Amino acid sequence: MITSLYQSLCNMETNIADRVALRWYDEKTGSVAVVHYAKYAQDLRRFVAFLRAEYGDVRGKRVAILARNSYQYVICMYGMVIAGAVAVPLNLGKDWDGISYELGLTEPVCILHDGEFAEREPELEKAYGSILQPMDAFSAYEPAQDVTEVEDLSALAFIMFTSGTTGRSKGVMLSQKNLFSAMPAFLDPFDDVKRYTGWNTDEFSSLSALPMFHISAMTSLVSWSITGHSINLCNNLKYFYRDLGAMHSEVMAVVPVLLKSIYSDVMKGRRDRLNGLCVLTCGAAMFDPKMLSDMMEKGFFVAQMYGLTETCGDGAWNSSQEAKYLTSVGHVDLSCEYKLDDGELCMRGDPIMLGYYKDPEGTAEVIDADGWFHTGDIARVEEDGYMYLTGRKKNVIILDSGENVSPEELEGIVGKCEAVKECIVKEMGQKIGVVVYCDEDKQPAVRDFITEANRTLPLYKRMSAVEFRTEPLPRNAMGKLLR
Amino acid sequence: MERAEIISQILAILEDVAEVSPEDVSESSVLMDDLDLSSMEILTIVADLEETFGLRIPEKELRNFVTMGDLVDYLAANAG
Repeated sequence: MITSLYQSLCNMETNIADRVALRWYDEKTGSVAVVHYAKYAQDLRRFVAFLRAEYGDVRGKRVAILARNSYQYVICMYGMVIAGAVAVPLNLGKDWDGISYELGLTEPVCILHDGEFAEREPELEKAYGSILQPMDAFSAYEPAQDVTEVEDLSALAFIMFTSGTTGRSKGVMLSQKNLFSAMPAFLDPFDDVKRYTGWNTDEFSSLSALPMFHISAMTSLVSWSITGHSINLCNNLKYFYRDLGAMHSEVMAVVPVLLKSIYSDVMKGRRDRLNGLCVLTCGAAMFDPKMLSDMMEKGFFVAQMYGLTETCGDGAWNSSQEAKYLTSVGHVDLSCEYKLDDGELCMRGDPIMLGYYKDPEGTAEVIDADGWFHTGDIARVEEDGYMYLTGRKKNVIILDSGENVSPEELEGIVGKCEAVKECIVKEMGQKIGVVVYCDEDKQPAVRDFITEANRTLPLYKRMSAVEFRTEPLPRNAMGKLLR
Repeated sequence: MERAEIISQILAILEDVAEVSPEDVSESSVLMDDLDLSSMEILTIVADLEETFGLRIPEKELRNFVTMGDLVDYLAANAG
């Protein structure tokens, strides 16, 4: 049983050294690059040597990553935790306002970046130029041979930002103990696939297309490396089909927008584009049950996962291929205790985060005195143990891309338009919608304002439906706008 | 390249990727609203445009692609 990244490093060097760890499409050579676990481990040691040489004792210090997915990303993220530092993987899609807040909060000693964000947001260079480092800085160093286990596996190891419900993002603090306690939730389902399908899963590869600052990518990189399986990196969703075509992959974690794309290929008879893909793990948002059942009928093994950043991805797992369970997120797993508190799902156990970074009040709002984490999701558990999500207590929009968006943040942007008297941002079907109260003759101007505001937002955050009201928006007895 | 030719190439890709009928598209169509495209569909369309027009569209340009006209303008200025 591997319970730390250091143990995983040793496992890579002894038991699985000859197996392929990672593949990716190399833009420069126009071919697939391959790295085995032996080299992966050596590069992790190089990264430790780099951090020590440049920053001395890094234990407990934060190191940020602001880059697109890449092999170097994997080395940087896990190498720094093995060295005792705290990994802060940041969302490349955010704008300068969001990133500068997160950098200000975490005060990293170093920011590893690939230049993409800096090209779009020159403020990064101005504010943090002295601590920027290229992602491959480690490659010039000799592997450190004296790497040992960190002193305390319960200490802070990762800060993963998640959308807050009051505008600013929150830094979820996770330890290695959190991460490895959640591992059974990612390792055990493999047995379900094998048992149900009879497929030999020993040689399976997984296409990793979700960004590495996302908990599901972060945890699956660890779980697949424990078992010695290989991961094929899709570093840019734009090239999803090129990468899938170039790297045969059986398994893939999908969010609804990705499933929709794959579904349409299967239904249009273009399955050859998918190059052997046959296991889909669906997570991060709600899926269309019809789509799931159609995929099962077409021979896919479809599993659903429920978890949060705050629970290190742990939660529930549904690998039943029966139609009656399609709308369930599945059975809760044994890594945590579960209870419903006035309908709200609560979890307690080792995978639960240490808290929100520098935010004891925010932490106390979600983790009570008895250690129960309140998920904000309203759930119902049937007698047969299957759990169903029925609503949400927290004010957050969960999109088909799996991204969580705070309505208040977007309302702040729309509210900057002078003609807008009141506005509310909410889910409208599969879209982010805005309801605006303004004078009737100002409606075209408001619509134009929102179209222009969308140019400043990443694709997934665009407000793509606008409704107008000529009356003030409804409020509750406390005077708060009704959502 | 002629603007009309660029438009016809984009229309063909839109139809292939997202089953959008060419007659439903004008230059003022908002991609994620009027044409109901998902973020994934926009990315796939951009990858197909890169292949068709033999160019590489930098990531930071993606934010500017809000309407059909934005795509046409970019390609008119950058495609050889």
